Amino acid sequence: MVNPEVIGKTFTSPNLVVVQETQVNNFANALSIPKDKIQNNLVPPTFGITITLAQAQDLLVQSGLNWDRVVHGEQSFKYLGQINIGDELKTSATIENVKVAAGNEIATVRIDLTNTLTQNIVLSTTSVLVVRA
Amino acid sequence: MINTSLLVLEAEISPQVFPINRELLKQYAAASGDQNPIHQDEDFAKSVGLPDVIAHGMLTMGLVGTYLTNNFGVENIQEFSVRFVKPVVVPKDIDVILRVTGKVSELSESGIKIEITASVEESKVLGKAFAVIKRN
Repeated sequence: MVNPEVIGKTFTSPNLVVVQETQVNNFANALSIPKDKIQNNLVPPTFGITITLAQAQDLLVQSGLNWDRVVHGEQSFKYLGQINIGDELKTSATIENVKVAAGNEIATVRIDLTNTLTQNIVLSTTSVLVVRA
Repeated sequence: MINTSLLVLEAEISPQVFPINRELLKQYAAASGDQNPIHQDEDFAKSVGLPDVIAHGMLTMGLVGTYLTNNFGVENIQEFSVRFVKPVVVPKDIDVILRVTGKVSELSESGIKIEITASVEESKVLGKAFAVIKRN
């Protein structure tokens, strides 16, 4: 069970992430995104998950959640700016809500990615993760 | 790419199909960093009560992202949201076919809301799936 004291608190990761070209290419290839569809070194629409899901996992596991039985319930992305290859990003994560329904623990985590150069939030993601009973 | 200025309410976006197999699950796991064994190891998946290996929800969403990118361009996607309602079970040596369609459900000055259907063998695997596309 997630420690209720962490709900609503925002954790900014000390680790900055640089968007690597190889990783973007591997991700686009796995999803069959044609190269000519990604102009100007932009990243595929769901690429942010490669950064945010691990953050969500770390935060939830540290807060007491059993990751072994987790399935992904919902996911949303709000694109507030662009993410390009080479950008340096900072993550901040907030456990927005934890509830129990039909024996399943359900955690909602919002993670925002901020471009360290412009200081603008470029992507706001929300993940709903379900620990199956 | 679709000329979004010509889209009308209820307009249907051409369907696209994506094969999903065990090899793709391995490729996506490596590319995304999500190495959860429920997506690769049949025995492990069954030990935690799943029927077989299941696809990463984010692989399914990612393929829908490819559909959106093909039709609208990644730079025009403003919002993208799904609910994972049914796991995509991927048996050994089989291509599971994911079929994606879209329909214009709202039109405004600023954006176009596309309601997305993603199904495997006529069963919806995503619920409340939509994207908002910038109008150009």
